[in-house]
Amino acid sequence: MEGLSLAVEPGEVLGFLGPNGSGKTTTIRMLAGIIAPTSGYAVVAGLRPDQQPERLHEVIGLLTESPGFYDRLSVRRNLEYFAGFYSGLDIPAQVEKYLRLIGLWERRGDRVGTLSKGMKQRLALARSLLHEPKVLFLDEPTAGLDPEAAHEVREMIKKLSQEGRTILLCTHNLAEAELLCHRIAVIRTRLLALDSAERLRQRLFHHQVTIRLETLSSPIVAAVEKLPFVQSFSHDENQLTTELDAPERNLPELIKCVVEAGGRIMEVSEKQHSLEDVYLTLVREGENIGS
Amino acid sequence: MVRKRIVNILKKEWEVMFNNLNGILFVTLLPLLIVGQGFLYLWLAARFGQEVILTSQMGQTAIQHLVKVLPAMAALPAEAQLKVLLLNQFSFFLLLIPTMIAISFATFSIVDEKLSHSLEALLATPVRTWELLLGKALSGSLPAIVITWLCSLVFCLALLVWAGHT
Repeated sequence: MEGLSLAVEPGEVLGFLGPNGSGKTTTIRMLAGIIAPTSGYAVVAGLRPDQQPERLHEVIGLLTESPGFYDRLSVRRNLEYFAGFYSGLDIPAQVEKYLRLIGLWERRGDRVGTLSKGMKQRLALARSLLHEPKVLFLDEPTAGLDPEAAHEVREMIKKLSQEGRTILLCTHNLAEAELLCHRIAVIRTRLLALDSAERLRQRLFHHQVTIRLETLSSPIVAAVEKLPFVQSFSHDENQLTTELDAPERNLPELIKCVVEAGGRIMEVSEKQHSLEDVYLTLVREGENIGS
Repeated sequence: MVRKRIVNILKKEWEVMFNNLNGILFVTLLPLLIVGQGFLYLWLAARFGQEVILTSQMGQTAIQHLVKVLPAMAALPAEAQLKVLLLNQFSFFLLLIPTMIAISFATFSIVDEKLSHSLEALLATPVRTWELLLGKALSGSLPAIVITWLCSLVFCLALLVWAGHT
């Protein structure tokens, strides 16, 4: 990573998006005090990860990419072991609370090796919450899970966010990022963009509006071409496709213009660019709109 | 807190080790093999090599050296002196036990940590690296010391039985 500078507000869910090898996991490891940066520094929950890692670890939770449990030990014993490193924790109560929350209380005596991947992932999430951390780092929490298990994990993350925890979420799943994150940081060894999904979309793309008409005549084309807020314009047999600035203000104007030019409108549709379009555009062009 | 964390590591390491048949075999079979092998060599040497050793220059010199250290040996017959010599030599084999057990414990522990990808999650807890290393080192060396003493005990008991028999 180079030149990464950003601030995350308390209670915010920030998504890290980027291709493989873009530095998402490395960033999380640096922020969690597992590896030290070669230069620069971070402050997490008021603590420097490179200077006070032990104190920092009391207040952060890390969900690693692979669950990382001892397969031969029971579900409960695994959680008790990890909980045993925190100070002032009521271990049996916390273990029971989170095992019940993730629906694995009934399987507390089973070896972790007998659990499905989805269950292990939920267990890993429970492990990262045992000490009630203020800040959570989640590294691809739904990677490799079936849709149902992924949905359950996402619901848990939503709940955690509602509880006011600050969450940094690394993911490849763009729909997930859009669903869960207040802001999204697109990174590729440096910060390419940082904003909400909606504002990234607005920054990168004009709103595309398609108007289907009964018949498309040349006076209509001429009238639309003259409109100052139309950024680009194309047409075929009975369809106009335009890209507009500020559609909430200008779309009625466009429709009025078409009607006044004698057009009979069959359908008006607006194309919403997906976060995938935004992501691909940013990553391909390396366009630094965040700066 | 430091002691609590180290005890936590010790308990977990032993649980993992003794929940696993390979682990149990490694810490029990190895010392048994070493002690058993010692007795086999002793028996073979006393049974088939007694005359060769006792008549050889090297054998006689070794016994003379031992008599200097253990003067009481001088009163024993040559056959018994040979046994004392061989047993004395073999006791060094017992030193292999703590080393091998500690190393195999550490290997199991680190391989397990690596295979299960649990190290990163562990490093994200407040445990310090030196606590983790100390816990793992103790988890290997404490049973190794206990097992070595047990093996020495078995060795001495077997010795008494054997010596009493002859």
